[in-house]
Amino acid sequence: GEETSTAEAETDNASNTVIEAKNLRASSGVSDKHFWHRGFFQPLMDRVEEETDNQITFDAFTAGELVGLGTEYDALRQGSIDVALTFMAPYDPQRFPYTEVVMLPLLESDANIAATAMVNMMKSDREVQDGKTYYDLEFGDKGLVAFANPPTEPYVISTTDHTFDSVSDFNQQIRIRTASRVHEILASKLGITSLSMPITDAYDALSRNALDGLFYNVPDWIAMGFDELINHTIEGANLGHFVGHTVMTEETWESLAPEVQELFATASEEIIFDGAALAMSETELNVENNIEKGGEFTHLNDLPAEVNQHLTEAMVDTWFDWIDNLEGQGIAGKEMAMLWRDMLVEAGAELPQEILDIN
Amino acid sequence: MEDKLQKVIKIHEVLKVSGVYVSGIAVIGMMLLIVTDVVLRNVFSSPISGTYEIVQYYLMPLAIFPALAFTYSSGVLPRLSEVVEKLPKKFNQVNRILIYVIEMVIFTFLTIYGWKFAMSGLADQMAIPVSGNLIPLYPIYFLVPIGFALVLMEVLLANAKKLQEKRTQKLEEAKS
Amino acid sequence: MFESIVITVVLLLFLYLLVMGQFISSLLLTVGMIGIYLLGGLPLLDGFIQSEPFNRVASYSLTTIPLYILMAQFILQAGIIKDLYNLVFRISRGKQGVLGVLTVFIGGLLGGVSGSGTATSAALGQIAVPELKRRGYPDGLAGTLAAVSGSLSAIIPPSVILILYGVVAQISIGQLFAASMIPGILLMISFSLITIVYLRIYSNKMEAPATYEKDDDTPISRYVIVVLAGFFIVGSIFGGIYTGTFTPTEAGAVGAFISLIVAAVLGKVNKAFFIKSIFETTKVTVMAMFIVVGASLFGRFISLSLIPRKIIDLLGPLLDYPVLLIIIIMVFYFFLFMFIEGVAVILMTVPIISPLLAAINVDPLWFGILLAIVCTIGMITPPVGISVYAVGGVSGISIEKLFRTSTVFAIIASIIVIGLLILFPELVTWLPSQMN
Ligand code: NA
Ligand code: NA
Repeated sequence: GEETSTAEAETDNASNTVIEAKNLRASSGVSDKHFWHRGFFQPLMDRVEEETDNQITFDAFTAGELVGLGTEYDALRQGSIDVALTFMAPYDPQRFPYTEVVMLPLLESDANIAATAMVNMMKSDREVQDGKTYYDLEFGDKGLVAFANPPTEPYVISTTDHTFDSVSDFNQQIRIRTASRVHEILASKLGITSLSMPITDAYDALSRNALDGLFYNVPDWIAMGFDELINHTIEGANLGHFVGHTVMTEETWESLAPEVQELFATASEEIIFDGAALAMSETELNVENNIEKGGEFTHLNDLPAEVNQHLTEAMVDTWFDWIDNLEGQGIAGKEMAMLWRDMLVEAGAELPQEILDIN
Repeated sequence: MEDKLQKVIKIHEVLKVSGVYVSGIAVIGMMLLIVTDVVLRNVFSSPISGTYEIVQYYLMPLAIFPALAFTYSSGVLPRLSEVVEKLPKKFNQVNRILIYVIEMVIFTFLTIYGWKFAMSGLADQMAIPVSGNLIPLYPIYFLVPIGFALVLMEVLLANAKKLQEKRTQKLEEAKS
Repeated sequence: MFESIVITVVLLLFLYLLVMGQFISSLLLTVGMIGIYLLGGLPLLDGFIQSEPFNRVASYSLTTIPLYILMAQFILQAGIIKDLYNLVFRISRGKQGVLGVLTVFIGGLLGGVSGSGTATSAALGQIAVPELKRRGYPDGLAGTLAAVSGSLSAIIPPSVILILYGVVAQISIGQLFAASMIPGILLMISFSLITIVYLRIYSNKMEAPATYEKDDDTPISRYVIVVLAGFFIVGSIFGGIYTGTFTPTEAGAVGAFISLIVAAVLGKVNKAFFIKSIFETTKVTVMAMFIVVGASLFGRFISLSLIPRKIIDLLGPLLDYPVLLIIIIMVFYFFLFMFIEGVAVILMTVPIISPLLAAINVDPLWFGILLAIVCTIGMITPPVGISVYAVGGVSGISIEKLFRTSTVFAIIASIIVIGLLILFPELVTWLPSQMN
């Protein structure tokens, strides 16, 4: 929105602060029913509008109505939108190689732990490469201002009929939908076949046995109808979180008054935890719903020892493969992995010992 | 002058038809790749990794953009025609010129901005992850400005040809 | 206010250039670009015009367009369809109504394997229209039959529209698919009945089929082969999808490949076969995608103008009159689908209309099916009826001629089917309730 006019905002402390009225065009690639929208985007926009007495307003476009999911970076740079609500760095590892780190698998964590780790990583002054922090490398250097969205709940392995009772149950016959480079590496370490397909094709493929299962986060199940189809899920083997960011260009950001900037930053860092809490409550909802429909959950520790070991080894190997992959391109994969690991541990997550030993 | 125009028209025709072959081969390639993937997946449990990405990011643009100009000139693009046929001739002429100008402007825009799109892809070294590796995507971006530039050529040449025909017609009328 | 003026100007320009005969694809690009420019100037236009063509084309789901058209080409050039229509014509002893119903039936069947009405309409435009015309169908009716039968793909599962609605409204796609079965069949029946009535009315105006006798000396063995080939193609596609060998999106590729094999077995494959197939497939595919890109840019303009939201906001005060509200909403959608392509309409309206529906306790499943029907109908009504354009493009029949007939089909079928669904919501809800 380019309509701007100057108006006086009535502030509580009556300090005659003048906030330039501004309407921002914001775009999200997920539905307004999605937990990201209900738990974070909408509350964030509402709070900014409210606390600026509607001097800052948003025209929000959802479900990719204006800009397709994953194309937000170009849309921001080209000026089609002012705010990208679903800025998906992990989809674009060529230009944003570092954020993918959050998809690396671990043992125990949840959306809240990941949110804490992510908020801290955004602010961390630890140098990752060439004397720059994660935030500089991924956003600052590109002229972007970013705030972490609530991470998803852990990704888990779910299948329709197949169960993993022995190591030989992990074989090329088993077709799993994956949606990221990290999960493709993990699938190959596990010895199963990874397939890429639109998530909207996955229901059909699962229901007709063209697909045996998927790596996905539980709160998104009902929306895609997967709760009806998934019969077996392994918990406790957390295949990583997915995280997006809410991003503006520096130019847009600088056009906001310092108090608005302050307000936006504070609001996002508070509401991220509400969003994480919502995601977690929807995990419970989905799990109950799935169990009602005949779904089973098995914890990693209750699996046969050899299966447990196979899974854990694949998860650990994925870290090292990812690190080697990035280092091979001259990117500080190891430093990045250690940074994320430390942020996770500090926030209360559990990781395999081999990962804790990296230094 | 006329010779030159003929030469340009000839080169343009060759490019246009080559575009169709590129597109056609991309469609056949899409069919073969997906079928091979389905067979390998079902019979040997080893799909071709990256089929989805290759089809979406490479074969689809290859199937569409190179053949834009040929399609534009083939008469297959739908439009309403009955009203125009019933209108007075003079009015129609004005409208035809108006539409020509509009077509020229929009395809000029699409070409220029398509070029900008491709150049920024080049600057970013745009690449996509395919089964764990990053594969360059930016060369495909150049299909966009090339495709629209050929359409623009088609619009311009169709105009030039018409003008030329009119001129020869007038010349012959003057002779007789 | 400013947006209302812009949208009025742009729509008037749209109608003017439409009537003046600009290509539909160029027209959509033109008004889309002008509209975005008027709303936000060059900086706003810059972004959309740069990315839209590539982002729209680079889509896995849209592969069904080239691949179904390729399949249609292979089947067509193998001569299977021609013989099949001949056979049915002979069996029905020259009753033309049977051929029309056959076309609707083939459309419904193709709808069961294709998610996109555009792809199926273009395919039917190629395979069915020449056969219907050869047997005395007037141009307008032959083309309309292809367009309406093809548009059925938008509602008979799998359906891109329903998948998208499911994602946006967060309802199970499986339930939507089950719910759309009966309404899809109702649409097929309506289209068939309208065809028969049409033929009654026009029976005296129709030319006697000239080719009827000549085709009579086709040997029976040829018919046997053709019927087997037809069953083989349809059987493998359905079999493959329902056993999970491949997904409906992949079915386009597999169907094309099987048709190629059948054509080879029938001895039709040579260099000319390939060249013809390549040229025809490319032309029709690019034509459809040209319109899709244009419609998408135009849709961006409508989104940016925020007009659909403002109109829906105006409906708020009618919350006390739910039936009236539903009817107004459907009329509103009817107009939206008239001008804008289906996918774009769903993305720009469902998020804003769903709170309204929740407030009057409308079942989102039932509403989604109603929406899919209106969308299907929208594909065959002027001014933007993408199924009609596809058929017009491949058959060369004038768009106006097609719209005159297709609009009658659209109005009658929507009154019958939507009326039935409002009176008997169980037609939608019964099948999904049997699912678990
Ligand atoms: Na369908
Ligand atoms: Na329409």
